[in-house]
Amino acid sequence: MKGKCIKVFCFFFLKKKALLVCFLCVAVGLALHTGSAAAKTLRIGAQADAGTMDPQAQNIQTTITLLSMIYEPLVTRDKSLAKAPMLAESWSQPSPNIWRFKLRPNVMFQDGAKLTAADVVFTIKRAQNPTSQFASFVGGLEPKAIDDLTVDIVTKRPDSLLPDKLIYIPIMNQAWAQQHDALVPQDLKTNKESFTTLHANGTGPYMLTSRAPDSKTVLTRFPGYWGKTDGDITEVDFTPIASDPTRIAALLSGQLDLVIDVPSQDVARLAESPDIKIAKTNEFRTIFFGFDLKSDKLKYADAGNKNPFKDIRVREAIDMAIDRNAIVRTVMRGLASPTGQILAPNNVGYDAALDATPARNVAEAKRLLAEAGYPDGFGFTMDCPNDRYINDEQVCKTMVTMLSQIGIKVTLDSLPRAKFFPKVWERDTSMFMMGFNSPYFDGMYALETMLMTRDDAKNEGIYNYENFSDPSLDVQIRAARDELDPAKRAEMMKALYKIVKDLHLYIPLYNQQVVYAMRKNVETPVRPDNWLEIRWVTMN
Amino acid sequence: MISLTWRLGQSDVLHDLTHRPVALVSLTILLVYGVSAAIPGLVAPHAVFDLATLDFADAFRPPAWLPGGTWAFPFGADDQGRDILSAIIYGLHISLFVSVASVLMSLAIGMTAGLLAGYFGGLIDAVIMRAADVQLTFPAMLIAILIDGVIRAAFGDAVHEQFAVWIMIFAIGLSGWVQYARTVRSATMVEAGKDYVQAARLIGQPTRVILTRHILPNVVTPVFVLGTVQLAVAIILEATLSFVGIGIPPSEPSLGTLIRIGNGFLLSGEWWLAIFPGLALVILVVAVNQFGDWLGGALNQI
Repeated sequence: MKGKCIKVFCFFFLKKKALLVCFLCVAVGLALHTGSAAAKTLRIGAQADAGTMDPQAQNIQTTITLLSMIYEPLVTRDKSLAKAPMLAESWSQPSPNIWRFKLRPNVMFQDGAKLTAADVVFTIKRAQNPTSQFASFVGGLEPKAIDDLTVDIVTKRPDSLLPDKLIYIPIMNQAWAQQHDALVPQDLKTNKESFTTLHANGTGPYMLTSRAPDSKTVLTRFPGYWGKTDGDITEVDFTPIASDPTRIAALLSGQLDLVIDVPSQDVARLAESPDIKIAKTNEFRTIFFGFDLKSDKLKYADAGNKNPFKDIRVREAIDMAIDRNAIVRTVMRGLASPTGQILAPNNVGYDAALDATPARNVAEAKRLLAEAGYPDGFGFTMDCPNDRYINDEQVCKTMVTMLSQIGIKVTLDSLPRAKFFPKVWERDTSMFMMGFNSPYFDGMYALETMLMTRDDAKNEGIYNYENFSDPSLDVQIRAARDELDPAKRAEMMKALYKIVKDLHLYIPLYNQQVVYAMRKNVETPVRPDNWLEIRWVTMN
Repeated sequence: MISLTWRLGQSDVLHDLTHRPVALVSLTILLVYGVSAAIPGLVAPHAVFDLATLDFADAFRPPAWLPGGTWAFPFGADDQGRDILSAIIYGLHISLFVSVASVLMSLAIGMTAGLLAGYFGGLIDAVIMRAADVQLTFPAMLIAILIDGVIRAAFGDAVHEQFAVWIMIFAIGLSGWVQYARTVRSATMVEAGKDYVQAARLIGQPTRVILTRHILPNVVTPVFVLGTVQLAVAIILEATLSFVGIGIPPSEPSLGTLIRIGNGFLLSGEWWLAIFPGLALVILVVAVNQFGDWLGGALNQI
């Protein structure tokens, strides 16, 4: 861009025979150029922005990823995804119900304050607030500061996964939060802003220097960072670009260095570009659909005074109407694998046998619908995000087409994530699309949050947007959760996931692949939980 | 109107048409477009909006002359296996309906305003023409977006989607009346001073009759030419609004919506999703403009 500009200017001035001015222009251009070469800016593009700068307000991976550049938790993962120390140097379990964390000394927050045990206690309590979307990670915990650098966390029952859960609890500074009246997480459901909507103060390698929501977020290197990063990037620019072709064009034209959600249809073309390279891995995320399983009369539908989704035959018919292979082949361009369950491989409790999917059978699906009392089908509205999952809107459109072929007329309501998630959170939906991964690679998380009867106080069923409730299933899930023998626990979870599949409580589609596209000078590992770890990114 | 029909019927206009190949080609194109848009169900090879007829095996089928293409899908198929040609024909139906209806709406508002302003003058003239001046300072696009946004905020997305076509007509129609008002006003001022109008007044004809029976037929010719040009503007405006996603929803796509959908695949190799609807739009607008150009010239000659 710069070179072109100089050429145009010189041409213009040469015509005017003002050579001196032209030389001046080139000199200034060169000086600017060398000046910018020393600074390394990584420009990241994504389909949507983080919804907030509050580290406990939004459990969406984009937000978690961006905030992990500013904030840090006690425990992190290394490149093999094993747990590794971050702000805690070590941890132990002195008794079954107590975890003890030794904090790293001399860690500074970006406002200059020193990290102490009080900050950890404050943060965990803050994350337990009803406005926190991470309450399920820390529910029932009683943190205690033993000394300045030691924290004991008492759990209600033995919890071997506690360090895994704390990976999602980045530590805030208590004094800073008190000073700015940010003692509780921002409430995203009421759209109310708080100080933490636009401000951040963590212990991480980058500080928030400017934030324009939905347009651009600039992070600069924190000089007092305690740790090391693989690269020497001085500035991170995060730019949300909702339009897929625009985002990809920005990468191709050199306005972005890294795109973390590449639309499937563009992967092949990008791989051919000499300036771009592609990195991908199987994501631990399953895409599926859920229903309103509680209402006696389906809200957004014309199905008489009934809720057809409560009939297992209707759910089975929908399951049969879907051609998962066609979706994976056309919309996902092969960058996904069809699945028959809502748990992705590599999670504890995963059973490969449940991955088998029914073959598409329109005649049988129609027969089931007729048997359930809907020989002419019915109509309803389906809610879909259009900027959350890879090709989400397109997949939903394909679903509409496939369901129309068994006589079900679907009206598609495709919404940006800022509207979609509050809507499903209010359970104001008849059928919805969802993508779910277990943050600690364990099948219990999905069972606990998506299948148990909703009880926000106990953090059970919080993502049960279906309002599904079966007390006997609750009992079984609790039994598996409290089982201390890992092998037995895994078997119990497999049995539970079989029930979920047999009852068609959710309609699984596929496990998606996460694809990053970057300029040739950028290097980063791709994590299967789609968490871009800025500390591992290098630029030449 | 009577004089216009009479003039069009005159052999010199028709004679002129047959000796202008550009005008003749434009007229032919417009006739083909018009007929296809009027009866898409009979012309289009596939009933693309009956989702039950789609087959995913056809998804992303390239145009017929490329490997993998078939003449059942001459311009290829989209991500759902829909025939692009049929989608264009159905899209034309919406696009032309919206643009013609909105031009008629602008025409009705503009002619009424222009007649009243030009005939009565004084305060009525001042109010109408200042309103027109204010409106001229806002681009048509902005006004259309404003109207669309207000309706969306007032009635919600669901209602908006249901009445999207009518809202578009209203938005585009309301943004385009000024040109007609100005043209009709100046022509009316000229006609109002002429003897035949004075005579009609003297014999006690009511104002309504003077305006509609005596003045209107004599000021309508320039409006007719202007309407043709404005039709092209309305087509482009509708396509632009639909392209940026605030116009016609994807459930009943217009040409602009089709281009928007295809735009997502432009970089990934499936160029036919965006290029063919785009070409159809370009050809339509060029034909309308060429025809309007000729019409203006031909009517001025007589």
